[in-house]
Amino acid sequence: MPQTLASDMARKSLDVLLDRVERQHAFSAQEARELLNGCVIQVTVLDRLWEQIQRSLDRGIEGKQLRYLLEELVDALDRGTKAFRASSEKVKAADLPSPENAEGMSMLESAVQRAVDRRGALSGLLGRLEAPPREFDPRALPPGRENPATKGYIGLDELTARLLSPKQT
Amino acid sequence: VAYVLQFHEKTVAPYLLDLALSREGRLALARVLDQVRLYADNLINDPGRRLFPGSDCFRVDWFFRDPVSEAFHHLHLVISDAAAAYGILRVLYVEDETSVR
Repeated sequence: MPQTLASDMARKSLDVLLDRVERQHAFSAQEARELLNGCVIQVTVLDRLWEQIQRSLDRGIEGKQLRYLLEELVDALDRGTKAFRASSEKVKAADLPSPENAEGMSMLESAVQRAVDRRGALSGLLGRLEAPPREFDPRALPPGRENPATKGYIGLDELTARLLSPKQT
Repeated sequence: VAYVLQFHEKTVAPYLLDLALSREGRLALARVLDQVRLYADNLINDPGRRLFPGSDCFRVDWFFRDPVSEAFHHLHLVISDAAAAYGILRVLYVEDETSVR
């Protein structure tokens, strides 16, 4: 499957952030501020990806599509965790005024924690999606299903009406 | 192709009607079942979903969340396209795995 636009953008921008952090040994105060601003943007991007998954679950989503979205989000969260941890080291060592440094460190710690928590929350769901399909005995299925006139079935409209009838709820 | 989705009256329909869902959850389930119908062409054309090569039955997994209880529901469906020439798909088997957040 092709990457979704949102996760592709997230992955590329996280790579840019990580590349900058890993390439540069020391950050001046101004550079550390820019780095923190970049991290805030990445936090927002990861939040949006998380919300996208939540909306999909609320609407309902097919299993293969969900697995694909989850794998992409997990990948983005892993990259985010790595980038925020690396940024944290640089900000800690930068010559920022103490309160500003503390605020930046706190933001990064919280970003790492949120990414780790969310990854953990998604892992269970992803594990379930990666499990092989359960064994199923086709002989247990009802016969005569090729005949359009076979009795014993109800349509979606009738089922929906029953689902939403006051008696049912 | 616009298919009609039918549910086995003795096994599938009662199971779905008995799921522990809020009214909003039932609405979500109704939406999901309609999505299955709308998405049917993709499902039919995915050979990896067949119970065995040449089978008229394929597996479908769909996830949704009850907005009130926030419980995740994983619906396993087995659907037959043996009557697809008549525009009919039949849900022959269903099982739900619920996990509370």
